[in-house]
Amino acid sequence: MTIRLLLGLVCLLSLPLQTMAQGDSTSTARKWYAPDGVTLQFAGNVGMFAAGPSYSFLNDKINAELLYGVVPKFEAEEVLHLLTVRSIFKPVNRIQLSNQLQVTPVRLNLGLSYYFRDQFSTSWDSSYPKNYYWWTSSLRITGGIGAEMNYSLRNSSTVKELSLYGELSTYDLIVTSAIKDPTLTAWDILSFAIGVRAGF
Amino acid sequence: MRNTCMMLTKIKRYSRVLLLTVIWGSLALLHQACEEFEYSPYEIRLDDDEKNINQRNLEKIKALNIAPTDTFRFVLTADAQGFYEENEKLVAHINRRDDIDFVLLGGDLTDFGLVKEFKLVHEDFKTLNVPYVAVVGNHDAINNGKEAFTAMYGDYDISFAVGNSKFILLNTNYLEFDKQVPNLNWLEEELKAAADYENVFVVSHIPPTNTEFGEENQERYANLLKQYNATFSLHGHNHSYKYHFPFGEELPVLETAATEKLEYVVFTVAGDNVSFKRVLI
Repeated sequence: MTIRLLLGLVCLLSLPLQTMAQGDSTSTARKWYAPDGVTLQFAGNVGMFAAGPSYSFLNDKINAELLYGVVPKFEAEEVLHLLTVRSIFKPVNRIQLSNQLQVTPVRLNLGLSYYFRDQFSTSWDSSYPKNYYWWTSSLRITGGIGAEMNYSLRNSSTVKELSLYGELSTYDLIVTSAIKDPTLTAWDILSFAIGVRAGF
Repeated sequence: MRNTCMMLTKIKRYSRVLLLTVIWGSLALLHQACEEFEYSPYEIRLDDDEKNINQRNLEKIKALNIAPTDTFRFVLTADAQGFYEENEKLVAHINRRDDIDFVLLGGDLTDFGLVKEFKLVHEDFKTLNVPYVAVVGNHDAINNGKEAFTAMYGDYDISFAVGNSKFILLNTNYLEFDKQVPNLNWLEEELKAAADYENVFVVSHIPPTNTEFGEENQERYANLLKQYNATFSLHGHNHSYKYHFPFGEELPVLETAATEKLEYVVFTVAGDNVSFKRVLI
């Protein structure tokens, strides 16, 4: 089950790649599956640390990322491992601050996390009454809004750009809680995330 | 000249203090900020006052030194899941009275078993002037809620004595625990051990009249409570108040409403005379 889902997620990620890679001038020199960058993120409901390949489309207006995340044990019985596939949308053009420094004022992300652990099931046991629980335990939808700062390294042959970003992040279940009870404040459902993306 | 020197030393000393304050202040801020970095909906990261809540509150109940001849009162409420606005009102309402000794929270503290939800509920219930003890509900035992509940509240099946009464908290979330609960053998041992108490209250989330209790358990549960003269079978789960005698008139079964309904039940125990009152806020 786990493997099948993992493969499914990978396929999901590669779908836009196959259809869009040809039109993308920055990635023509690279093999279709070679990432355009790597991302490392701290917090933001995709693990304490999450890292993985990042793909760029439409002049970096859209990124697709596959992040592997880890959550330390703290007071739980086990460490959590999760895989997040997400897309990042940057609707506003970059603002040039200096020769090397640019700001991307808005970045929005939407992701789907899969948790590798037996206690998070992908379907509820048939003994439960119908619609007793409505969500899927192993899959969580996460989302965020933020901004990024882009620093270009023109002389470097490997990493061409470093992007530092910050985000306010939330997830599906807690959003439903906030809809159910309006006294929950933004701070109750939002949390910070920071990350860095090295673009090739 | 000397004066200026002294002043300088003073300023120096003060600036040291100031520097120290700034350093401690930033550390505190950083700690606060870390709380605002969330790693996963399923993370179980707790502050000290969020751990071992039942045990710590049971010690507080014990410290009340309620004697077997004393009259005492407790509140039964349940199903606080996501009703933060109502929970706050309920807690405030209970805090306005001074005749309550403790509160029983009959399960379903959360919708999704998330630590975040448990924390938000505890934030309200810890402001009660009296200790509260929680029993596990079916919604507290899904996703990784079992781990979260255990880390925050402790064991599922526990018992404690107050004055002349014994309270047995039982996990009846049959489906969520792979049909391995309720542990009726444990219950029988506890009921046997409670023989010297005038009143015995068996508290669980899912009532024995629901099929989610496990149909094969219903008869034995009822028979055990009758055999050992349990005073009340107390529950939540169905979100509405219900008082009935499904197993014969010797065993009253009471279900309290969800906090959403802004009501709770107050029990008064005076010797072997147990009465209760439904309170609508």
